[in-house]
Amino acid sequence: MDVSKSAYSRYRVIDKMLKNTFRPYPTLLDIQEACERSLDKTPSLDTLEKDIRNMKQSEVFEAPIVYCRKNLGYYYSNPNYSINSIPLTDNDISSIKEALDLVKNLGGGNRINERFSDAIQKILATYKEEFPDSDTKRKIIQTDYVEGAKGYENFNILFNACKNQNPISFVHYSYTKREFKSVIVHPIRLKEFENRWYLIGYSEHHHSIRTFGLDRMYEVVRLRKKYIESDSDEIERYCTAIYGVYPIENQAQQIITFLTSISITNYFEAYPIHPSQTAEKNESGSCYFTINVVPSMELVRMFRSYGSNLKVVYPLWLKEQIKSL
Amino acid sequence: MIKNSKKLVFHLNVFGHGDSNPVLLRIHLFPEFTKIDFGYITTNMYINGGWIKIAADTFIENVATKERYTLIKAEGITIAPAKHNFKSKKDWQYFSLYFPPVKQKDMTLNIIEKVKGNKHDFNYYNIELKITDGIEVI
Repeated sequence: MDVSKSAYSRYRVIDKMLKNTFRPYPTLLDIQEACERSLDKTPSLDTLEKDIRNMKQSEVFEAPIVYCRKNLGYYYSNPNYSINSIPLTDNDISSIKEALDLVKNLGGGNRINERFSDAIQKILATYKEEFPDSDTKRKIIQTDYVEGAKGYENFNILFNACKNQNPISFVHYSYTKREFKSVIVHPIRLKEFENRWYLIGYSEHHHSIRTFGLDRMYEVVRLRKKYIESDSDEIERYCTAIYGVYPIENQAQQIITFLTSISITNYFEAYPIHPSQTAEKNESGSCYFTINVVPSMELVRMFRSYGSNLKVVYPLWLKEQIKSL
Repeated sequence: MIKNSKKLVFHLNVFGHGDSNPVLLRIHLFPEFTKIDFGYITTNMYINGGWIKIAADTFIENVATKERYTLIKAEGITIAPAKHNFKSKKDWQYFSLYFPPVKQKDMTLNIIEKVKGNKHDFNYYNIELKITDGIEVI
């Protein structure tokens, strides 16, 4: 639920009155007077009633507000509750402010998870109050993410299936084979590569670990079925010891050496393509880079994209494959 | 709604009686409804991949008991006479058809868009469902 700044200001007045042990059980009229004093505005009794209802029903606040018939006023059924109950130092607030700017620029959380978005919304409500001058609409960081990308609708169910190790059923469409298939997968993890999301899991159909693009998955359902644990070495091969997501079949993890021209060496030095990357720079400025990975389709594609500025030195099969195109 | 039944999904991946029929992917036997998932891939046979639609009186039939259950809802495909027009010969479409719930017993089903239809109608015959092959959906 999006809370406007004016509504949140009234919530704070209501909260303050319900926390006041010297004047317990405030009525709507008491709250209206308090708003007049604190906010220089006189909200209607209907508005205040609605505010109380929103505070109670909101997933953000879940305020335990109860009307006491005996005392004819409102109170918190949990006396420890407050909408300001999280104590934050100035440093905490400053750090949160920076993080929120980052998250907002990355898409406000909507890209990933609705629940996360709700949590962010809750913090943002306070944030707007504490930093009324902040310019939250101005983008400082820009990412590749484009609204409308397919597949994110399944993100939550896949995340929970990975977390709880629930086998899943979904329909997969292969772009390359132009083929639909319904599959059962024992999910391991979600992985992002080049701004695209993939599910890595054990496929019963393939009898091995496979990668599935989220954009090609339809109607994921979780199954009550025994989860098949995958071999940790195999998981490592698919998830960590690789540049990209689709390993080339029948290729083990191996040393790959490539030579970069002086015009692109700096980029590889600045942005290593894999944690295993090492460099041996030549006097001219060109450089031999070595990585220890499972060769992947994405690695081949990336090598080719540099044309004559990048030459694979080792292994020979990869050198020939790159040269032949 | 059928009482005392679970939510079951069956993985089938079978083709219909014609080359251009969609692939029958999954059947969901739920207490509230029966849902059947299909995938259609356009071919070179038609200009811009052609079109698809589903007849409003499409039904599923229990071969043994002859009980019929008529379509209640379609997702991802238009109900005839409206058509979903493709844009190219390389398009695809995932769609689902909803029918009333059926009893969760071993059965053989026909899915019939048109009785005695030609190969272009989406008809599927003798789909065997063994309840033990169904997997419970959480």
